[in-house]
Amino acid sequence: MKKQKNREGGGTVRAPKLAAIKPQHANKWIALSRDYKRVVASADSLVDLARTTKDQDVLVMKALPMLVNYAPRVRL
Amino acid sequence: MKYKYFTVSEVFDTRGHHTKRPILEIELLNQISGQKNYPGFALIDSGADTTMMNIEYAHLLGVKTIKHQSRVVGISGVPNQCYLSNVGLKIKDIGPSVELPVLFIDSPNVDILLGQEKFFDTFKIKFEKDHDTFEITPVKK
Repeated sequence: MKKQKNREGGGTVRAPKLAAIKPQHANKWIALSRDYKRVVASADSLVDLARTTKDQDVLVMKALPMLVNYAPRVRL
Repeated sequence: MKYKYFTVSEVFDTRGHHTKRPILEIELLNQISGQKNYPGFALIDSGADTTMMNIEYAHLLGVKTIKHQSRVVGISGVPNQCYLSNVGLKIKDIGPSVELPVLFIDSPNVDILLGQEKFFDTFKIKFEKDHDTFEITPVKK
C-alpha cells in the first residue's frame, strides 16, 4: 500500500479496514493482502500459515473470536 | 505519528457504539538470520505490564532462548503459564526497531499486546480518544 493512500489530513495514519475478516475466520491464523482487502490464506497454526504463504507479501494475525474483549464489556 | 483508532466490527460498548482500539501495523523481526520478517497488527495495551504474544509467534520467529516465567494473572484471576524472551519489532512508519521483552502465552484469545515494559519507555504514547486518534513518538535519549 502506498503511504499517501494510507494517510488522512495532517499526516494521521488511517486505521486498517479489516472487512475481509469474517466470523468463520475466528480462532484461525490468517494472512491478509497488504491492502487489507483479501484474506490470502488461513490455517489452524501460524507455522502452517507461513508454510502456505511462503514468500508472499502478507500481514499475519490471529483472528480472535468475536466475543473476546480485553476488558469487561456488555454484550448487547 | 498520529494513528486513527481501529473500529472493531461486531463488538459494542455499553452504549451500543462500536468498540475502538489503538491498533498498529507492526513488523516482527525474524531471529533466524536471512529469513523474512512478519508484518502484522498489535494492540497498545497500557494495562499490560509487559508485552504479550501468542506462543505461536515464538515458533514462527525461531525464538530459542525461552526462559521460564512465573505465571501471569489477568482480570479473571486465573494464572496462565508464560515464557519470556526478547523480540525485535518495528512500527510501520516509525523507525528504528526496538527489542522488547515478550511473554509468550498459549491462549486462543491473545494475538499481540504491546505492554508497558520498555515499549512505553521507548515511545511517548498519547491517547486522544476524544479525537479518535493516538500518537506515538520515539523518545529522544
